[in-house]
Amino acid sequence: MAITRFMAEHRAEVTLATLSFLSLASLLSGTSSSIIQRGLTRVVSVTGYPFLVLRTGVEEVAHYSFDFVWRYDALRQENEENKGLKARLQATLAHDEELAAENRRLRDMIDFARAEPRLSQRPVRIIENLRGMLTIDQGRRHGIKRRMAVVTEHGVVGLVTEVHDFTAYVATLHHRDCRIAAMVHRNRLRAYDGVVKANGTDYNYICSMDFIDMKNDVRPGDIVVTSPESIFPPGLPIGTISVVHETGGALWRWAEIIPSVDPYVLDEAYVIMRSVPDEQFLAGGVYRDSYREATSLAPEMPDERPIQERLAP
Amino acid sequence: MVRNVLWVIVVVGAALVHTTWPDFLKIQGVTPDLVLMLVVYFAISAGEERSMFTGALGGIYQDVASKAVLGHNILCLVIVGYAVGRVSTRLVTGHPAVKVGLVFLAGVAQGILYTCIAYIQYPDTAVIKTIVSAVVPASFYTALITPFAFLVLDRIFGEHYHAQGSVT
Repeated sequence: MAITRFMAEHRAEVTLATLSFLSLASLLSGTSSSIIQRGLTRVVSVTGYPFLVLRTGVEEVAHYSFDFVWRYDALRQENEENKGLKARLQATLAHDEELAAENRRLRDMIDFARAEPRLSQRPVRIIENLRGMLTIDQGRRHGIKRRMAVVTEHGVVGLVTEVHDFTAYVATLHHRDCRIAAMVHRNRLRAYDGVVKANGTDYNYICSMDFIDMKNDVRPGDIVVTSPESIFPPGLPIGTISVVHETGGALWRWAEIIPSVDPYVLDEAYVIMRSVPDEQFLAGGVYRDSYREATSLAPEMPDERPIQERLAP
Repeated sequence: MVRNVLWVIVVVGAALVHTTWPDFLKIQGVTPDLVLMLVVYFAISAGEERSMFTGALGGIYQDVASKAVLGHNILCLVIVGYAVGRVSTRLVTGHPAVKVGLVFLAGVAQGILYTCIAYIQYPDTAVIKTIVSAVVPASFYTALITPFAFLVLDRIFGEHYHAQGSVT
């Protein structure tokens, strides 16, 4: 009874003593990692979470309102600056992508040059492209000559038809000046005139192989390659036959060929300066003297003049 | 019952604001101690017992939130609450200046206690520097906002502590 009465009379002091004792005990024992601490942490976290969410929301709304009112001009100017920055970054990105594409093309060209040790090739850059006629950045001073062959890793591009001191013109398979001796890769079949040529219009990119015998086996999908009679190394892809046309009772057929190289998307190409004959290459004795100029092997272009004109005095 | 619920809400709310949103009232790196202000308010208006429980509840939140050893803030606030409660019975606490001064002294006392306990735990604590650069400015700032805070608290608890008289 006496203790109860003492506690009732000195409730504040008892409370102080109890709370102080508990606090001191907690301090002395270092109960930061105790179950009580963890439980309290959870309670504080749970009760504090909505408060934190509310606080974040209030801060965002306050900042937004403040910025909208007081920093409107600054934000507008920042927006303009960001637009300029975005434009510059887009230009940089486009430049980087262009460099990456050029890098890929050059790697492919290097692989092609390594894969064709028979050929002495000179890389050239396309500086102009007009109606199937390409202008390249190298000319007579660089050793370029007429009727030299121009190729890429994907196949035949065309022939050098005109040479200047520092530039040259290349007639592609989309130009009427370009005729290339060709054969069907599957059965080595040649046409009667033995060439593939542009079919006559500047707006039709398809070239043709004329004078195919009715009895010869030619199908759409056949791959057409350069023949050994060509100034090109034999076997380079020219294109793919898309359609074989009958000529209504005649003995000939003709085929439309889709070229394997589109000259309108070219940036670089190779001019074949010299080639090694296959027999010497297979024999292994490839010496510099044994190189021959590609032009020396080139057959003359088919003479399409009428016989009267050719035989005229 | 309503009074106790309100008391819990206010104390926990003040502790939450103090521990989770210190930037809300921070000026030049100094944050007012809202829990201490409540301890002083309840010491004046409801006596030292309510004040000590306020210190215990608020101190728990502060200890947990600051990841200090449990009991650090509790002990300081409980002792300060008891002392202020005892002192306020002998003071004329009606004048705002008295309450402001009381809050300032309570803040300094609580800060000194806190720093001393910290010094015992970690002897490399810079006691004097902490008291001068942190405790005194924080106590001063707490004392400055006391009249406004007490006005709000009187609106909340005025009728519940009417028998003991309004604090402001």
